[in-house]
Amino acid sequence: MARKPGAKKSSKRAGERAFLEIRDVTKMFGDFTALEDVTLDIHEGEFVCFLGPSGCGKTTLLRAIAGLDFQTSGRIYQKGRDISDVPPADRDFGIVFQSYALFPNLTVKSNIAYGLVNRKIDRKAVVARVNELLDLVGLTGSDDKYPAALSGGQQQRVALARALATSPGMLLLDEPLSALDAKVRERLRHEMKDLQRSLGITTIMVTHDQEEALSMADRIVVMGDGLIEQIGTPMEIYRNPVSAYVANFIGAMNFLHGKMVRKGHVKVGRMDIAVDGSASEFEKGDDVVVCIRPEDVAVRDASPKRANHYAMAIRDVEFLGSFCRVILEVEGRSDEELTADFSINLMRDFKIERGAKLKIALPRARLQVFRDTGQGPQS
Amino acid sequence: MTAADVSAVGHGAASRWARLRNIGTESWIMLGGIAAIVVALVAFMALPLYALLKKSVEDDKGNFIGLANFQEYFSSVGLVQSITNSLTIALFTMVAACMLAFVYAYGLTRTCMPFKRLFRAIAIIPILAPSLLPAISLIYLFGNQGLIKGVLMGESIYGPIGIMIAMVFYIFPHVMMIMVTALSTTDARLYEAADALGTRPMRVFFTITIPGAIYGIVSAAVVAFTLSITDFGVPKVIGGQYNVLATDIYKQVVGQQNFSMGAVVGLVLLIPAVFSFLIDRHVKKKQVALLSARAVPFHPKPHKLRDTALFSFCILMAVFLIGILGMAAFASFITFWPYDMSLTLAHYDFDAVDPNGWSSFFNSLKMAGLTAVIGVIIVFFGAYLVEKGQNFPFLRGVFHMLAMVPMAVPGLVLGLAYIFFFSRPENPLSPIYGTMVILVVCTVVHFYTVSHLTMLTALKQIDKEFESVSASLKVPFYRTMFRVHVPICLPVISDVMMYLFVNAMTTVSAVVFLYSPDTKLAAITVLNLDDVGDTAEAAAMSMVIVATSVTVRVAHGLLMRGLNARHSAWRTRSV
Repeated sequence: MARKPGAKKSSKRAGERAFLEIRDVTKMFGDFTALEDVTLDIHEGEFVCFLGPSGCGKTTLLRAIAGLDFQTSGRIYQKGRDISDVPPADRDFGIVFQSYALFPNLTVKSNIAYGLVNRKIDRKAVVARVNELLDLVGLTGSDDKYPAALSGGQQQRVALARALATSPGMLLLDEPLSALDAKVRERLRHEMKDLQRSLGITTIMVTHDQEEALSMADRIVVMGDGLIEQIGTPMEIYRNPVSAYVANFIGAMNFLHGKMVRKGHVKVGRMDIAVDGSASEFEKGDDVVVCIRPEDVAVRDASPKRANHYAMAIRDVEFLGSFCRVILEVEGRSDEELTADFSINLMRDFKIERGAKLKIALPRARLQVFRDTGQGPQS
Repeated sequence: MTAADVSAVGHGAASRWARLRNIGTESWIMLGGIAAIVVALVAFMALPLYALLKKSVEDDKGNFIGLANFQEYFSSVGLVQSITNSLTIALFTMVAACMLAFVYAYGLTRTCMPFKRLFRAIAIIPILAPSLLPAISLIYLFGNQGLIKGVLMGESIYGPIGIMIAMVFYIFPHVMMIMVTALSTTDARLYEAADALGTRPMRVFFTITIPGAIYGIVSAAVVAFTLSITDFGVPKVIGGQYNVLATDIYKQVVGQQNFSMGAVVGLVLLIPAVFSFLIDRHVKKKQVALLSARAVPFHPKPHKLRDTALFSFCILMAVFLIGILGMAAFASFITFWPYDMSLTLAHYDFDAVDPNGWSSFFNSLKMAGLTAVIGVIIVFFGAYLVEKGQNFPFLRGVFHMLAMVPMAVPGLVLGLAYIFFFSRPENPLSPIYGTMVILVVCTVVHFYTVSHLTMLTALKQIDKEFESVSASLKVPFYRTMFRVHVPICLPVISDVMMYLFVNAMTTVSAVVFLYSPDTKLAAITVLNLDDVGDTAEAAAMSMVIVATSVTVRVAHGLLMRGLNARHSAWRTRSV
């Protein structure tokens, strides 16, 4: 149900065959279903992220695409060729792992040349290609170092160069940045994205880091429990999550659990929230959850004339550098709380501090309503 | 079953077939490798053991007689007495060796006493000698013409006392090493927490130290028990009239040529060995992840009383270990103990007392060398295929299980099983009977499990994605194995080779049934010389074995140092 809108979007380039077609791929580990009927198209030159918490099946899907672990059923086509039962050595891809998987006893040069040497290319061409790649990943001059002498970020660049050396048709990245510290991760993120764009190589990256996915991917495939939850551009996924699961996983989100009291109106504690047409599918009496991002909580336009304005008390203020995260509660009700992100300017203008009172509004266009399944996050 | 189910199943089968057709040369090589090793283990271990089992229910002419042999065995008072004797010895030795080794290891790991490295090296001495050596030394010390016979106050060293003392010497390093490991893997933060709470030292010892090391202690106890119940050299030399299971097998087979009864005793001996093997496996499983990756290593702080006490204890223990070795060395140079105490090299002229004297030593060298080289190759490939292989999980599982069996089979039992299996002329493998080949094969199998597990541990530490990377770069697995895995594992490969070599030099139990005059080994010569009363020559040959083991160990140490220096650029810490 939640998968359909995304699935439609992926087939927008009707007519031509996608670079990689994944059809009804299921993977069982004994009785455990790691992937269930996953169907997905990936286009040439695209950067796609598989995003989800650990155990959601994203790595399993990547390994099935690589042929490292075969799917239990389903088909995979690369450029129209059925590779479902083809061993990894006969597929066309390069891969980079979280652990770098660099050969510790070989120099940087030999690591990068590892796949070239086997192809009976003459020595000079190999050297030239290695130098070209070293240049590409910004490690010129490190040829004769061993991986142990490099930093984590540098090792991952070598791994990237090694994967690209044989000019594969597709690049697979398995949590490539997760082992690095925050600063290096951010820089490498840009570099890898630039590199991918300039080479135009079709790339699939597995990650559990939503920020990484949002900043790097052309399209994100959000996964949960072996299913595709949503497929879309980072903006689509962030702005219009199709389920509370996706809403919770991407970015910070307030979850307000309530009941439909009449068409278009949700009662959350003592708050009466007017919601858009997006809630038209719900009937009176349905349990629903109203979602709003902390940065969408409005203060400047919170006049009593507008809908969804509330008087709140400020319970706590968390200073986070460029902005503040403010915990609000409905006056007198400590169990009804709301998180809001306010700019420093706003904090100053409205004299927002712990214990003060504040009028806020929840803009209708920014609200999302999902059925409350009783699972998932509690606000 | 619905139509959809049927088609799904059909599809799955088609995929499996497609994959099988697609697996290519690499997988065939892997399949061939595993299959070859499994076949070898079946032929050289499983089938011989089956032959032993079969022999135990047959009479001398090969007719099936059910459990009659067992009935006969258990109705013989003398033979049943051996069971009690063996258990008594094993239990006492286990308790004594574990207590001594625990205190010694505690000194090495938890105190600030000096010369820890030296003490550790001294504790290894017994491994380098055949188990016959401590028994011979004890005879020189406490025997009828013993140096300090009076210490025993009239008790005879020939019997349980001698067996136990010699056994403690022989088992000590094995137990000590396990104890050191158990006491090293601890989290300093536990002690800091206890300290912060003002816990008394005794309580810390019993609530943190002992529970933290308990799996190691149990494991050490099991090893001590197994080694002492299955060892043959010690009771053979110093047992006197005190019969144990291990000597009974030898007497039944070599003395009385009663093979069926030998098989029965072998099976009886197999029971405690298998039992302790299962306990050890169980304990090892529980032991996993006792230490989190975040643990802080423990560094002892000086404590005068404790350090002095344990230092004194370690000195005493070192004196005991060096004393036993020194006694054998000294005795080998004495002209005619105790009447002519002048020094001589005459006892090293082995050819004067045994026609196969020196040649047996060269046989040993050859056998140990072949065992080390052939053994390490098989062990490495086997462990690689188990750990890194991707297809054929069932076959790999079978292989791994087979590889665990030798640990539970005492050497004597394995040797006996080989007689029954390979001596039958209708066996196509019978030509190897009585040759060097069977000695090498038997020794490799005998020491397979420890080598396999050591290699497996080393391979497990290598990134499991190397195979994936290699496949994605279209480099065959065997190429990456030779270019990456072998160089990384070189220190462990060398460790395993040394382990195989030293054990092949010193072992008596399995090969005692399998040698022929042309392939007699040095350790067997020690046994024979002692048997005919040439004790000084036996001591001398023991010393030659020790000297060889020491040489190999030193060479190994130098090789490691060279390797570390040469590879220092990438070998940041030795594996």
